[in-house]
Amino acid sequence: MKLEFEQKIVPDGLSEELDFYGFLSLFDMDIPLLPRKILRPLTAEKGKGHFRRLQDLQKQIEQKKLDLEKIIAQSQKLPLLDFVLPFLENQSLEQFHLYSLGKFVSENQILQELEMECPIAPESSECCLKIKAILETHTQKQFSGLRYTPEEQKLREKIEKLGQDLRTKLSQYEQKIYKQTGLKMIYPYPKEISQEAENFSKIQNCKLISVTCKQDINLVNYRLSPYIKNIVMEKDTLSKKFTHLMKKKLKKINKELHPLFKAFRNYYGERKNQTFYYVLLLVKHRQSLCFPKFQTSLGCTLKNAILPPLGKQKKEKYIPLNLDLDCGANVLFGANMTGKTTVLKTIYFHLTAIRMGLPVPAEYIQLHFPEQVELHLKSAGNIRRNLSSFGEEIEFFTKEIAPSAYILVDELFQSTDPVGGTELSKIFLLDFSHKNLVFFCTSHYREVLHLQDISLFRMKDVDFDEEIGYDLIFNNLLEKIPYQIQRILPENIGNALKESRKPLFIALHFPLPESIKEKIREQLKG
Amino acid sequence: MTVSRNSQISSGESRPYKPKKAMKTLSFIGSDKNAGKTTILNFVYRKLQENTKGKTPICLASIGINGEDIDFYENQPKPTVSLCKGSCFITAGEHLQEVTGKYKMLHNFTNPDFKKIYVLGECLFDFQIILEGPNNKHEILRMKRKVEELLPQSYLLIDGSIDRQFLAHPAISDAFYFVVLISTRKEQFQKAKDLLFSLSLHTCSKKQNDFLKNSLEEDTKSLLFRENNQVLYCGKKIPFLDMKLKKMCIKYKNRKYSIYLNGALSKSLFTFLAPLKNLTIILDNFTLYQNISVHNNHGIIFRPKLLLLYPVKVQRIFLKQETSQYSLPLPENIPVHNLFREDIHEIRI
Repeated sequence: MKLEFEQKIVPDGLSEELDFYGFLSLFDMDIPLLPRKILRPLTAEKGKGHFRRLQDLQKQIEQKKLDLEKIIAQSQKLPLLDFVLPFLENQSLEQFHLYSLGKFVSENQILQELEMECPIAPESSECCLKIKAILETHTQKQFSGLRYTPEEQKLREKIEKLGQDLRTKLSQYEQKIYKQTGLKMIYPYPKEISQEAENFSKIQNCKLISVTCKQDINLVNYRLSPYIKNIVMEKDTLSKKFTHLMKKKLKKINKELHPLFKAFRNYYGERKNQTFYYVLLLVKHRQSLCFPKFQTSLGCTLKNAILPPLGKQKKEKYIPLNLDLDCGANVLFGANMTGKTTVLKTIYFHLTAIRMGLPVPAEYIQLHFPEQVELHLKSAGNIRRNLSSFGEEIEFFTKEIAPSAYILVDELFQSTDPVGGTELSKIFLLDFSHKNLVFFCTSHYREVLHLQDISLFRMKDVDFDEEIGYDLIFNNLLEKIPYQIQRILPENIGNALKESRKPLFIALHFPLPESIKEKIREQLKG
Repeated sequence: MTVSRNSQISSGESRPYKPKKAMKTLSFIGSDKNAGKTTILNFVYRKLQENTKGKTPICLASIGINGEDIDFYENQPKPTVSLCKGSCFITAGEHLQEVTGKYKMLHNFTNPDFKKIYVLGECLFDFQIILEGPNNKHEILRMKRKVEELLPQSYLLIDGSIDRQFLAHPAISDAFYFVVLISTRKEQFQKAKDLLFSLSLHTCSKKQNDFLKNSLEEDTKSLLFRENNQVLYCGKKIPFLDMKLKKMCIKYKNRKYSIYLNGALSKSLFTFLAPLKNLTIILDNFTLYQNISVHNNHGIIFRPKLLLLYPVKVQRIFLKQETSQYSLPLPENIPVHNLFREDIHEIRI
């Protein structure tokens, strides 16, 4: 099974950066019944139903009512029948279709036994047994061949006997040609001989063969005796009769199977869905993923959420994300290079995966269903669309926003001058703070900290000596970043403001020209 | 016999195949339409049946469709593939209507791995059938894997086509039967002559071979490299359409270098490369040498050295001679037969 997202769900560059392909490849499995599945965003209702069904199955597995490993192994034996269904509906199944259909119903029966305590589509499952019975009546050897009636079997034997007769007669005929002409021929291959050949006159006079001159070559061909011709004709006639009987049989099978089509189509669809659920459960278990829990109130709580490409890259040094987002406006305040954008991307990754019905790499996640997820990252504008970075940001906010959407924005209105950016940030944050949605942005603007009714967060600071005596290299600094989020309570806003001088400290630790560093130090003192 | 050959056939050439543990894939290609490919396929199939006394499964398949009913040139019915009871076949589902009940199912090759539904079946009767199989390398390889799984130690006979270059890849074919039409039509005759020339091409050195096999990726269409194995260019486009490849060839024309091609050495590419005397061209396999002639091509003298990456694995050449007036230089060490002129009993496969 190969999972794919429907096109344009995640922008191309972001999909690559967040390695959605890698995450989806965790679900790769050899399941002929589900070779490929395109995931589309789920509505809240369908999404909740989807995860509810997964949770129910999970319970059945935990209660040992389902043996998932065995079920998956058996599911892998079920063939894909998508190519058979239209023929079943149109009563035009051929012998090779019956084979796949028979294989499906018989392997499915074993699967049904494994699911005995929690059967799927019980109202239509009986059709599989009926199909199996019909196929067993008319086919043989695990549905691989049609079953012959005594009359058909007799006919088959007759055709075989005629075939043997024909071979014997042809062999005798070839020997006669050889005796009369010295020419070794094997029916049906003609022979090309030269006029200079020693036996040419014998060949020309032999009544068993014909000689025609074609360009500069004499072509010797066969003159079959009436007896041989009769055998050929009789074999041909019987063969046609046999074909006619087989076609009649096939028609009968089609007629018997057709009333079961609708029930079977429903069952087959259910079986494919159920197989998909089994795969999700197996991968969840194998990869230690989690299913989301849904709440009626708006908001999102993540515990130890992992962004897979970053987790893979940093291994044991990776710090998973823990965060509570409230309904309304949420602002992540903090210095550069503290991991604010990574927080946004991690949330986006999880919300998108849940929206598509997948388990996620986290210890726990509780939220309202993410029916709409919008993300705006800093951009350099778009020349083709004649939009500056500010224009792009403004355009982002013109999108239709459904109630309960998640809107994630990196560096809110950093795309314009600080005065205008601050004013716009305040206006938008105040507006979103009263809406039934989750708005989460990062910002440097200090003025937003004083806004009422917004939830404030900050990234935990880099812990290093202010008077470090050596130049810090970039990778060392990255290792020092704690990547942790703290909620800023109103009484701590003052401290948070002080930390706006952090970028100056950070810059001081890079091998910048001494003249610049001197000015930074003066600024810090002042 | 009016056909000349460069040297005598070595002794022991006509040893029959001994069934090995693995499946053996034999592909059939013809130099032209009506070269008699199906006739030879039928012949080799019957001979294999005799040789193996029915103990080794034989499966017949085709690249694309085999089964034009009518001879394009002469408006005569064309031979079809005649299968015997116990043999296996692969064909598209739509060709099985007339043989319902006469075969036993072994496997259905279905989408999405295959663009069409192909059926692997075993004959319960003798019957004639139109063979149709996948037309691309990946599907053929998948098909082969399944046949090998279901019919180990079998022979897979593929009715191929000279313009399906992947057929010469060692993962696809273990050996070839090459059917050559010696026609009175000038163009056909030249085509046969050029194709026979391609069979006598030598393989590249072990050093080049090792280097290429380590450097090539699945989608590499061309690779330009120096004697010290420094890669100058790696192309993913069809070589004759790859402008960058041509630019690089010009850039290095005064130095000694080699170019690997995994795409037809087309007439335009041939003309372009013809003056490059320092160049060694290594074709992936002999089927890439098509519709061109290094000997006589409208006065163009072809200066590069021409080699092959994969050796020519032509087991036998079968000739169909429309005329006795023309003779063809035949490659060394490949047995040549004329089914219609020699004692058919003596022809070994």
